[in-house]
Amino acid sequence: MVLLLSVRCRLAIVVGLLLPLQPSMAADGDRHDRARALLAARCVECHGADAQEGGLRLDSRGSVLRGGEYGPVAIAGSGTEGELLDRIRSADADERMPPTGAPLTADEIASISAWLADGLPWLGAEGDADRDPRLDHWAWQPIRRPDPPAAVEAFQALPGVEPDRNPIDAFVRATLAKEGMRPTAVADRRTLIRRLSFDLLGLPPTPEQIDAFVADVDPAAYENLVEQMLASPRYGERWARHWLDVVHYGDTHGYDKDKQRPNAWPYRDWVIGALNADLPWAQFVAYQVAGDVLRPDDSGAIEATGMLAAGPWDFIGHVEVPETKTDGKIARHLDRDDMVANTIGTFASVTIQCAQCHAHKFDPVSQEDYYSLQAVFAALDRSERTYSPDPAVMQAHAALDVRRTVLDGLRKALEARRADAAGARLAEIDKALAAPGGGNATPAFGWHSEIVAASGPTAADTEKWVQVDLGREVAITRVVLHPCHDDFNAIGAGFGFPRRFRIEGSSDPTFATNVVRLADSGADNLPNPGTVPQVFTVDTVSGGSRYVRVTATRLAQRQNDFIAAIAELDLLDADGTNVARGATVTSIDSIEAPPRWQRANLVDGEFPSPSGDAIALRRERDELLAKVPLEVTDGLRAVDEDLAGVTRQREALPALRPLYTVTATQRGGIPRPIHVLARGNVSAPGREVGPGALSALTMLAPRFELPPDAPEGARRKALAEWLVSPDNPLTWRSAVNRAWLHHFGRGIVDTPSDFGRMGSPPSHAALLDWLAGKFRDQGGSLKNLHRLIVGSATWRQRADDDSSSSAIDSSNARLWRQNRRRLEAEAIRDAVLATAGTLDPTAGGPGWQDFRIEHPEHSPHYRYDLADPADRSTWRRSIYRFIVRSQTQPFMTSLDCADPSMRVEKRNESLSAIQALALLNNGFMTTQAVEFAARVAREAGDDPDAQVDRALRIAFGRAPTDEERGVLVELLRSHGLPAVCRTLVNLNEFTFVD
Amino acid sequence: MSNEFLPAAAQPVAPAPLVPRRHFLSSSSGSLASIALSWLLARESSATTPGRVPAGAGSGLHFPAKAKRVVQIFCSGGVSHLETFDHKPELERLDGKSLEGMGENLGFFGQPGMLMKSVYPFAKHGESGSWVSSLLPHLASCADDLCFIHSMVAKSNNHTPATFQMNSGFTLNGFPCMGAWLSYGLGTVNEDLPAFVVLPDPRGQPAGGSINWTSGFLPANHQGVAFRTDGVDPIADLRTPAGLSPADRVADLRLLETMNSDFARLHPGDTDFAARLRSYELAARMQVSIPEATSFDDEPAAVRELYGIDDPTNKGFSRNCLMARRLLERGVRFVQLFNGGSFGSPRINWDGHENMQENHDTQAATMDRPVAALIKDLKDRGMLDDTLVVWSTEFGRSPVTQGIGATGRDHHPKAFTCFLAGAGVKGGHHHGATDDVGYGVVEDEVTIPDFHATILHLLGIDHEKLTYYHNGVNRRLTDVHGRLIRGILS
Repeated sequence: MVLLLSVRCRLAIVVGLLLPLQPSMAADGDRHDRARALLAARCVECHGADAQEGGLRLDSRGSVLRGGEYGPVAIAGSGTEGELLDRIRSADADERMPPTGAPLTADEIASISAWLADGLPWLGAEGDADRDPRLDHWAWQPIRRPDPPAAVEAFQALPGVEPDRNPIDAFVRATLAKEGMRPTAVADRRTLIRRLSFDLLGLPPTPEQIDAFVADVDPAAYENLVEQMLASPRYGERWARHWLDVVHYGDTHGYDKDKQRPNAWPYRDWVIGALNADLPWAQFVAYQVAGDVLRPDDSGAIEATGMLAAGPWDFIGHVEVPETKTDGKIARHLDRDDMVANTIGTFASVTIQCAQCHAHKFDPVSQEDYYSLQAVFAALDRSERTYSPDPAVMQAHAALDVRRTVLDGLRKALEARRADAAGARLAEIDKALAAPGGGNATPAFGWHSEIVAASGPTAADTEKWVQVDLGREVAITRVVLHPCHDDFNAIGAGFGFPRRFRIEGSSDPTFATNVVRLADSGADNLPNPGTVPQVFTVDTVSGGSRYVRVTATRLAQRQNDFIAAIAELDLLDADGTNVARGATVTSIDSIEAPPRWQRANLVDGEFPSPSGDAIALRRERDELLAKVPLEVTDGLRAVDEDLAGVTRQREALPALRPLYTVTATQRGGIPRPIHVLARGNVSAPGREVGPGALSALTMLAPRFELPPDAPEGARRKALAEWLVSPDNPLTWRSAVNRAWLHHFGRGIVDTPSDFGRMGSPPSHAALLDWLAGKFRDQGGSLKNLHRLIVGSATWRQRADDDSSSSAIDSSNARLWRQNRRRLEAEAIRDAVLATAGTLDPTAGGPGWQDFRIEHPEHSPHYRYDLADPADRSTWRRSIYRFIVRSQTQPFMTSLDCADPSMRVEKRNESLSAIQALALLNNGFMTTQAVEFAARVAREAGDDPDAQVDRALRIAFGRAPTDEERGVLVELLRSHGLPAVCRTLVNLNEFTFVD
Repeated sequence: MSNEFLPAAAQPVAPAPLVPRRHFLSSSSGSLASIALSWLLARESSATTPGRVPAGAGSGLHFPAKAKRVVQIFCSGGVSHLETFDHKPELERLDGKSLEGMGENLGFFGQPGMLMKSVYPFAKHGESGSWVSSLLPHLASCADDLCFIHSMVAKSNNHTPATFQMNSGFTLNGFPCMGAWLSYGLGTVNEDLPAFVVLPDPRGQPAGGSINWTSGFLPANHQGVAFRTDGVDPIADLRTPAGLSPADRVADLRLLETMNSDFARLHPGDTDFAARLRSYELAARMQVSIPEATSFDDEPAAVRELYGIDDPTNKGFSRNCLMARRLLERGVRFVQLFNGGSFGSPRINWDGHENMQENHDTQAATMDRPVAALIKDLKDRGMLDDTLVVWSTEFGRSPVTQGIGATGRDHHPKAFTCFLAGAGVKGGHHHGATDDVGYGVVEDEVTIPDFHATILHLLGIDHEKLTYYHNGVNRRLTDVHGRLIRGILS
């Protein structure tokens, strides 16, 4: 007995229960249903789409009849024969199926037997016999374009209720009528403008805007208001935040070092700009996956790719562990996993990451699908790249790169000829000069800059300076730099010595003015000098300098990063006295790891002694070089001049901007081979896969047929095209559902990043398809979608619970009213600033920071408690906040701000004591309450009644009731205007939007 | 939307009766106002208000609980099992020999090294005769209360992912940690204090920072509240801002209560408004209860001496241990103590790459006496019967040195020791075993999900049933893993 071999299976119950049971075909079909349900519940986990133990599937009529590796297991029309029956009836526990759980009961066996005897009736066309029933799930179906249902007559003339305004209402109200509910009355204009303003702009309307709208007699007053808001640049700032939650954007890496990402923000600004410009959705999506490939000359398309790098990144796992080690492999596997999950979860609303270890339990997503998606990103690493908003500048830089490569080649050839002419001794001398000198006499090595991660092509060009204060002006005649010696990474002599640098003097400690160049390293990179002191004679001694600064302009490379380190700086005056010894040393930064590395070591007289005969060797070298033919020497000089010219031209061009994104340069554009990994284990690679996407979308080709030598970008381009294909139902439904969520507080699918079986089914399936189809076919305009949604009577309903409908649908899934919403952290903070009249509307650029950093040299600690709430640079919109992963901002976090480590599809709305403490006592709140009071006093004068009136109108857009005025004036008189303002911003009415 | 700080019964609160408008500033009716008033009195008289004694705590979520509360000590950096609790006589014999045939050098930095015996002698302790090294004399004196698991294995060889795994079950950034799951599953016992309090080492945060007490995708109110113990306020925003007199604050709160109650009345059927009012009440109470819970003024000299409060060598960690006991006593569900911070020079954690003795001597001086004091103190108060003490680290250390002739050990995830003590676990018990040199597990391997599943079990929670839907998955602390460690249950 080998068939259905007793491989121990996991319990099949969970999957079985979730499989749809085929509806009964006939009255006596109950037994058939039961038999098929039993197969689904007890057998298909091991004999189905996920696994085919013994080559057998039991999830369609065809597969049961076909049997497994050892032949058929059942005979249509026989209720007694076949291995299927033998095995479920077996008395031998090792042989009996299913192998886990209780054996089937006699009654259950009888059902299966009867079903077999009746010929295995199975719903569905025989041709689809092998079709995975999970493919029938709604999300994988093409978008239908259903006609809107007829308007529900009874709802067209209900008191206070608006008649249908657009087809959304027809869909929603048809469901309400069917389920015995009714729509709610339209909200008043004050409520509508406040709701609209928070929905579209994330800010409260001003009292003047409210008054104007309430008084506007134009029949198109509402539509005009919507247009005005959609045209506001504040719109993109509001909606970009929703998007950044989903792609888990942050300005630091996360994990242990949590280093800053100073150049992530151009992506954030691109999202804001793209939304404001209403970039068609297909482009919005495609650029984020492959903008650099699709539109290499469009800086925006390049910035868009920041999405792929938006999530956390394990610095240690990538920088300190090589890819050849298991931990390094795991880190890179997880990095691709983040890219895959971020792309597919965000744009297609499918949870793919489960398929990393095994075929998806609930959705028709195989491991092969998953690893095909990993293959799309297999050439990429997160790092910085450069770009320019001006394509001509990008091209000019590229041309200079080519020229430099040619010159480098020429120089190498000339060097070879020089070596031939000078003889083997030249190489020996060069080697000896670079050899380790005597090591360090004491552990006081020198000054060591902070480490610059190799995160992009410009990392080596990070400037690092160190300077001394001589206490008086001194005319310097000679500068001597002593290189360091440290065996870290087996570098030894010359450790960290900058490849290029300049030495300047100034009377200004900031070197902003009066700077004189004392010496520099020349246009070319210096070879490692070993521990030979580098001596520079100052050509023209003009006056004196109190401050002398050494600025490294090209850093020394360690294994994966860059540093500058100098053991000792000697500054000799006209008498040859070293005036630098013991001077005060400052620097742009320093790792300060005493005793070995600290600023003071730069002038402590301790440095590694050079190999004794260095000076003699140099003399010999000069003699050898005299043998070299003139044409070679001249040629080298000419090439060096040309190279210097290239450098000068590059400096003359507008600088390229850095961007934190993904690049393929680290691997030369060659994708890593991607294998299906058994249980997601990097040490258990299975078959290799090429690039592709989800095979569950049967209307699209699941694998990208690309030539083997296709460039890396072709894979991402293919994925982008797969995503934005009009035939891809996921992308369009996902987009309209996310928009719907932010207009109603709940999506049509309540699990916006998961349209799979574990997610929620759509509350209005036909409406979802109607919206998705319309959105797709009318150019993918998000603004048109907003117009449609906020234009509906459904959206314009009151939020109050005043209907009998709540007894039927207390969660309001069917939208018999609008939902009242607690504002998100950003909207509360921005509303406080707007209310106080202090909101700085400056848009874009590096994030503002409301923390101080401690211990930047190791793992930065972000200390929010040390920030000054009165610092006006932080009074900008919250979207521009610098987002730290390791320490989230406590005030924002208490208000359920998205955790930038997680892909957040929907904010929580919790109410906690910590939140109340933050709103009552946080320095931001109390500072702004004082500003708010000052504004009220400015605008309302001295009269307490007028002040209370104005404060309420600013905060809530309404006048106080007489009772409210009474108590507020009393509070004002006894405790001052700030007390009134503090209270208003803590009220429910401030935090909730009707 | 709900306030998970509140017990279920407290959620739908009827609006307070209307205060006659004319007198609202002088009236003390209404709960927020009266709390505010009591806060005012407490502040003015500096009187300590007793914490509200927890009642009816912890009946368990799925079955009766052995433990009502947990205190977890997490030692950052990777404590050597070979220098503490895993006695390896054979390693002494093999000192200086090659590891060949017994395993491969897994070290994070991968430098070659030879086997090295424990730098500390071991002795048997207590009636159980448990082996503990001379590094930890105070914990050794508690040996009969400790339940050692010698067969722990971690998934990562790298500090931060391994630290994340011990705290959240996942090596990735940002999954909810155990305390957040407990707060979500069990709620709070004392409404006046957070359910989950974290006491980071005063010297610095652990690897990964505050992600180690995140609530991840769980609602924010389950996030660990980190208390500072180095003299400033225990938590951010606890203190009414300078410049605001107590009378100002009371007036603020009275008006807030009045207007928010009216607003709730105007919008019937929305329980959020009542919950929000309640959250302000709790906030006002915390302004009293947290300073009281975190002040040591009423601790007798003997207790201060037991913990070593005035001993500077423990770098403030003793204060955290004593505060942990005070918080547990007042009904905090889960207190997490970090011993050791993240990276830096000189090291402030157990990451003994360079020199085991120098490193572990320094770290043990901060940890041994305070943790032993906490266990003894809990026992003296009868609290050890229903309190679970968890002592943990992210991984162990390699039996070979890091480099030939070196004296440090590299990271080692294949075997390490943790211990539990107190509610529901056997004392003086040893579970699992490593091979002769402490390289690999040879008996009863315990993964971190197993460890978590067992802790949840002791709290009356079936780890497979404590779930939260997020991005397509019903997430669990134990992911798809976790087996109960039955052998250690008493």
